[in-house]
Amino acid sequence: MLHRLPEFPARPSVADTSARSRLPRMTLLAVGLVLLSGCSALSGKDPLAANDSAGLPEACIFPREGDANQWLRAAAQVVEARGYKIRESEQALGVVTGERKVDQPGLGAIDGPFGSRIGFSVGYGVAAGNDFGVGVGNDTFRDDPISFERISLVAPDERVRVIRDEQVINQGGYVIDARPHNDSDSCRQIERQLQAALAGRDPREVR
Amino acid sequence: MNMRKASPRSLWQRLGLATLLAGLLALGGCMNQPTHAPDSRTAVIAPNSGTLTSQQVFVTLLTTLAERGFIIERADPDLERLDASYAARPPLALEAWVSEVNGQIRLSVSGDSNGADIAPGRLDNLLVEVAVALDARTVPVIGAP
Repeated sequence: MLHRLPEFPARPSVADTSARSRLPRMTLLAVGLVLLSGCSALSGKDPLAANDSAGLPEACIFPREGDANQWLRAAAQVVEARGYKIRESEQALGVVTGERKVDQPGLGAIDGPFGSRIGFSVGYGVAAGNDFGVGVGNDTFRDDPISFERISLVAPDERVRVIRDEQVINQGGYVIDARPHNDSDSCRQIERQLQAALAGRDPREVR
Repeated sequence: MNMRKASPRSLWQRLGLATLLAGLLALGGCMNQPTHAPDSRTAVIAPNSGTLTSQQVFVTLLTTLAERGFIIERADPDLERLDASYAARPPLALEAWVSEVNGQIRLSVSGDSNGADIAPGRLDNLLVEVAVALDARTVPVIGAP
């Protein structure tokens, strides 16, 4: 929208008066549409849609190896090796769910709803003597958001499903971003790590 | 203090006030208090042929949710009850459970999306997909949503 603004004076429509009067109206319409679309959610796919097009990629569903108990132990090992804390595990259903928190340094430097977080403070202190100080501070690094990530490995039958998601939360608890994070590469890596754990190797060594 | 006599408002002042009012209305339009109860749906899962166990229904519910990308927060095979959630804005949290009433297997799903409405059809989609995966059909329960 902004890069279109300088075009107005350059528009050579002096002779054509009807086109000239139409231009502001069209601009108004464009601005109105932009404003209206601002409130529509920019959400991704609907996980409750009738056709499960929003589902997992093919690489995130693969055959299970080992029996239920062996698999559960391997799955827990892999989940922990990836830095997650296990929050739920259930052998009869073959479910392991973990979560982890990852700092997002640098992402704190966003423009929040109240402007940037750079400010200054004036202090007056009395100690052994008198002193007066002015400090200019920058909250940016203290306000770095954290990424809250979860993983579920689900294998009640002969197939394993790997589900991951990610929520980026700032220090005020506001969810900046929340989305599923099911990429095929990580799923293939998890599959290799599960194979390694079942073979008695350390899943951390698998890349 | 302004000692000048109050004069009628100028055009610019009126325009400013109107803009302020419009701005406040626009801001207020986006605020929404989550007030209503979570949406929920219940249906009987009736097999087209043969029999079904509640355990089969529960496991199919689990795999269906997993393949749709839900994180399984809790799953209890004895209670046949699970909590799942999907990271989005607003988040989508589901509770689902299987119960057996008069020999019929009922599947119930209750969803919460931070107070935003979940269209009833969306929860039905889930019940129908579980039923179809089991070669069964959903029968509505009289008196249940």
